[in-house]
Amino acid sequence: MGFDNPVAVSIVLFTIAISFLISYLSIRWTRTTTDFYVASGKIPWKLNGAAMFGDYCSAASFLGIAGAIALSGVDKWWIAIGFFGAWIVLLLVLAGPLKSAGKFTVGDVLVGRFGGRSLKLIAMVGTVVIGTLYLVPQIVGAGHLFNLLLGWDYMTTVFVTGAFMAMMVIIGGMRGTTYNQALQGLILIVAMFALVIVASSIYFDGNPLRIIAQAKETVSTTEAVKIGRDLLATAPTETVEDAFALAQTIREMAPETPTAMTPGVAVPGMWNQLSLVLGLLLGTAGLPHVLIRLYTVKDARAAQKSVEVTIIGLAIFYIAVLFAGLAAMMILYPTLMELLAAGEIGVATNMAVPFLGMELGGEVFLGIIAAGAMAAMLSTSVGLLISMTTSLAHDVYAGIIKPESSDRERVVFAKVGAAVFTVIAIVASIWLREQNVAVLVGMCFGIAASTFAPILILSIWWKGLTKEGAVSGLVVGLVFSLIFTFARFLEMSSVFGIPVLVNPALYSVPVAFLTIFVVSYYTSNQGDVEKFMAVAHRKA
Amino acid sequence: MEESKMENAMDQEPVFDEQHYRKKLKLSFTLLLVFTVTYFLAAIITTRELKDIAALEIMGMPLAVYLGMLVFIVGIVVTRISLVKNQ
Repeated sequence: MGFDNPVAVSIVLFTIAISFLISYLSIRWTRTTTDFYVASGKIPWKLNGAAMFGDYCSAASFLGIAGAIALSGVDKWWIAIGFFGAWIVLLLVLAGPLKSAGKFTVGDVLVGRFGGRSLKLIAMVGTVVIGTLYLVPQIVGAGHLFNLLLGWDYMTTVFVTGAFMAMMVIIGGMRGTTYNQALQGLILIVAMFALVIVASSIYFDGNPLRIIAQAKETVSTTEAVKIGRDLLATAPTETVEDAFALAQTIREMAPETPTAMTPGVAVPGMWNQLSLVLGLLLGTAGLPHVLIRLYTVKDARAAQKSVEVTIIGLAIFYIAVLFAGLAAMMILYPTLMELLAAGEIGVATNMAVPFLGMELGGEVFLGIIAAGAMAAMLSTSVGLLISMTTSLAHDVYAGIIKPESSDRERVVFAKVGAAVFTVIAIVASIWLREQNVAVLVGMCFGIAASTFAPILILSIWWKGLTKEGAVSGLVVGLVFSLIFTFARFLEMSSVFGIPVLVNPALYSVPVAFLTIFVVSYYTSNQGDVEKFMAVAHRKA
Repeated sequence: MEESKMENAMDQEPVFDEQHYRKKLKLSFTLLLVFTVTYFLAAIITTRELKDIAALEIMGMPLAVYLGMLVFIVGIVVTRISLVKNQ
């Protein structure tokens, strides 16, 4: 498309410019390490809740899930439900105690109970692995989006996007990141609602429930390609009415084929589904960029209230995603079928929402949707970068390598770390360009669920946990989840005779918990448990 | 160092209140149990093996969609209960 979409490109560039302005204005509040890491714990809880919403609604939420629904129907909504469910775990068992017991990072909580530097180092490694793996799908999504908008080749796009992300963190620190994430969260929810409302108004009699009703009579595009690929050459496909007619023709050709609202078609088998939802449920409890946001407010109560704001926002957003995904399927029926027929599954999935924006409101709407998508990627990416760099600078540099370092040295180290992590993520994004961003994020959740989630939950709630149990559980969880994650990427069907599932969690989470229980049973270093529990569970 | 100036929670000396801890433990994990039962029930029913149940139509929509909505509703309800009870 090149510069055929100057209005859309201008809208995207305008929102990026605002983000940079916010980051620039935040420089004066980013002088010390506590400012850079957690905005000195002075972020209001409502703002933090909005920022967490923006932080969490990544490219996977905004593009991946709606796109997956547009291809496969209602079954793919489960990814959104899983993303939502994770926050309930976070609120009920972690948010308050984690804020009470920690200062900057996950490592602080573990060291608060057990002392010693080794746990900080292990926590930093886990943070970096999870953060990098989560960062990749953000850049992949951005790469496809800029390719659509500007016609840049993927490589150029990935490099430019990565540079944007790194600069926002380096300039703005946590305070700039917070305001940006809150603004980007607002853009996301407005863009998603605009899609549903405009689509309903123009094509579904102003009634969003009509989207569901029509989807019940529509074969998903993934199934439609198998049935009516030949029709693409002959049937008119210029207008949305043509798209509806094509969908109806295909439905009539195969009336027994499940529709977009038929459950159980695109969901994996029982074990795959269980593994996926378990990984999603516990995953957020182990995502460092989410956890670090709990430290940006003044106390445990404020942290919990922030999480409630995020939960309500996510519920509304993810319900809207179902309607937007189904609307995209029906309105873009021939387009999506053509992409699927050409084997462009990644493009079809990740670009369904921007295509829908273009169809509904031309360049202006495309620009708004693209700005929303860019906001999703940037807000999540800067959150990841800042959590990784905080862990590196605070846990390793200040905690182990150079404890006597000055504030300035630590901030500089963190900023250099942000640049290095960005380069690593860019290289990985080139390797994984064809992967669905939602699937990539889902797998990352599996790793987080198998590492930080078990040890954080048990550190906070189980007095019997020992240091050796925590370390071994984290290491075993990380190794198991990585083995099955990479086996999945390499398309292996089994590892040591164990079938490879869509997510590693079903194996790695129980193994991590079991390792912790067994090792803790045979060891005795429970740390400063009374003092830790008193701090973590003190009355508000 | 600026980092050490920030209030360090672990440096304070609150007294461990076993009763308060147990009350929090019971509340948090009871609410978590309620949510996870709803969550996994909905997840399992929508699998390929049980898709006939998930496809049952109620007022024009398949049961799977209602169960998905239920996860959101139960999630928000347990969130509110947790915040009110923890006040």
